[in-house]
Amino acid sequence: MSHEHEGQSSVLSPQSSVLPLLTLEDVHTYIGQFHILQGIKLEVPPGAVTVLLGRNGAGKTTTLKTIMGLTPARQGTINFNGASLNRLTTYEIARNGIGYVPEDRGIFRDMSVEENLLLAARGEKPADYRRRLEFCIDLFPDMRRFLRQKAGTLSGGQQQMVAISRSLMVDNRMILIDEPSKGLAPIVVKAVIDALQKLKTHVTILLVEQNFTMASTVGDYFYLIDDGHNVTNGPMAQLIADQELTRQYLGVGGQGKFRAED
Amino acid sequence: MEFAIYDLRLRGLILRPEFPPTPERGFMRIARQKPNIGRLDPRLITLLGVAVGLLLILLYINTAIKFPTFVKFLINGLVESAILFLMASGLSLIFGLMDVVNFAHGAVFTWGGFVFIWAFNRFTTSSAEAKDKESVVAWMQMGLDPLPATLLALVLALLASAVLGAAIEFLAIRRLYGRPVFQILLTLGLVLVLDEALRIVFSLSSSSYDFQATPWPGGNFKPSPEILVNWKSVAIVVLGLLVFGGVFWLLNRTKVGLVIRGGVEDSQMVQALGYNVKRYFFGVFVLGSILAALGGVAYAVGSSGGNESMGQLNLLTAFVVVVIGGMGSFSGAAIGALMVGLITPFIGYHFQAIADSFVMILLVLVLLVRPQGLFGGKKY
Repeated sequence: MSHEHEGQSSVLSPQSSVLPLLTLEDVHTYIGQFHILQGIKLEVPPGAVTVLLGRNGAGKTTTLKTIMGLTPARQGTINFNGASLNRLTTYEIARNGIGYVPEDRGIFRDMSVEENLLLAARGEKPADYRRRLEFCIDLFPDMRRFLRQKAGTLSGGQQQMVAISRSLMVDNRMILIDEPSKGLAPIVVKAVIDALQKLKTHVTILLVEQNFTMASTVGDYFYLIDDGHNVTNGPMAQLIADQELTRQYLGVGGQGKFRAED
Repeated sequence: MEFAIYDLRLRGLILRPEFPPTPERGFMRIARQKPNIGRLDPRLITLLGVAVGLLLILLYINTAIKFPTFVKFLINGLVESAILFLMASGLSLIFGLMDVVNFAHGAVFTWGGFVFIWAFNRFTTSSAEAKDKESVVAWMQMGLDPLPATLLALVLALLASAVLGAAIEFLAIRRLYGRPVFQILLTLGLVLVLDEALRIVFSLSSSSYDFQATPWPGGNFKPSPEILVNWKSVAIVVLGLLVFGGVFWLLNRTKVGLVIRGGVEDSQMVQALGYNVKRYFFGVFVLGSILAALGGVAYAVGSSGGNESMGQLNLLTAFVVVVIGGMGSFSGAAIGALMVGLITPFIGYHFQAIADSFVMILLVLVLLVRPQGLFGGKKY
């Protein structure tokens, strides 16, 4: 675990001159016989939120799983922070400083919330654990109430808070979040958006999101993929302005317009 | 036209939001759930305690077996429970964490018992009267008293089983994670190999293997004039309690336990949190083997000698215990062992005819009410 970074990752607004933290180059992934990712290319700048957009089945979740080594790429290169992730297994990738919040949240239901967080705080000293816990409670004040509760009894939104907090219990350089708004009430989505807004100054985020409000509010950059291919990418403002694109791929043209005029 | 339909279907398959969910690894998908490992639900315990207690009292009153007989059955039942628990807890943990149905567990049980007997016999032989003065193990013949000989032999048996378990995992099972059918064939094959090896290593001429002297603790005591309790029964029950306490502590109060419990629920997520789950698989397999060997030692001490089929006989019952308790649940294994162990002697006394099939009847009854086992999760 020799990934001590020089201080906190930079908060500076990413410019084109900044080296990307994570790059995927021509990544192909198969699940069984299905060719899911067919040459995905990604460059995730540090200190920003990059949103991965696309229709159902475009390969967004698989992209995250491929980065984590859960569905390893058959071809292509994945580089993180200057090192190749290609030959690494999931736990080694995680130890490189990548946190993962899966679509189903991956909560350990039979453990208490506290135990979930404790498990996530791999190799942390008690003092560091408490510091990180405090940080997470600042982020999600609600969590203090259900810290002792069994995680399986929590609501979807509460589970999402635990899942995101879990990825913050070690010194991760980047977190991958898969559809945090899925199945949540609008008010809870709002809470998650607020949390992500605060979080983006601390950690680089790669977000998969179908909820256009969330994507356009927290996102700095976007990548649009379809059928396992890249369609387009750029700053989020560009996507918000491009009604045609949002209607075609996200089915939210009207909303996009509204946001653009906002 | 047909092509178009096919194409659509194919697209439908591919364009799912969640990709074909990774099929559950492992054998017995039906029994697979998110087990409540290591957690005691107070309500269930109370319920079970009351049920078992009532049953015992009813049996006692109804049939008016004499109190000393009742106590005798109770103690035999507790001893049986402890041995079953030692075996079933390892099986359950191994299944829960890595989805391996380990048929070789019985062979490790037998090996543990046999190594114990062998070492104990060596340690209690005094060098003066020893026939064997040449071999590399001649130094073991120190003519020790039963207590030190028992403890030393126990340590050796546990070491041997740890090595055996480590070898099985490292050389064989490790290569077959996620391939349940192969694992079953492999562990079944290992049973044959280990049983034959047993005959050769201990040069068995009959199926049994005996102690030369009585291991510690021998003798008995009389809490009342009509009741006779063997010290070894007490020792076995205490051993079972200690192991339960120890492993319960490990699972619920340590970081390692947290990782194991997490791995039982979702080993991929544990990996994504940066833990090398394979290393924990290995550790739990070795731990399970040590527990099985402890069971073998307890069995050998309890029945004053080993038998080459003792592992397989107990394995069958232990599997039933694991299923009753809920696959993967440690507390479930303990409760299941208590149920099976305690009720069996009484059933054997009152209903001789169904004594052998009773364990299976109990299994059917439990599964009818709770298909996932007593401590299994909600699924299925």
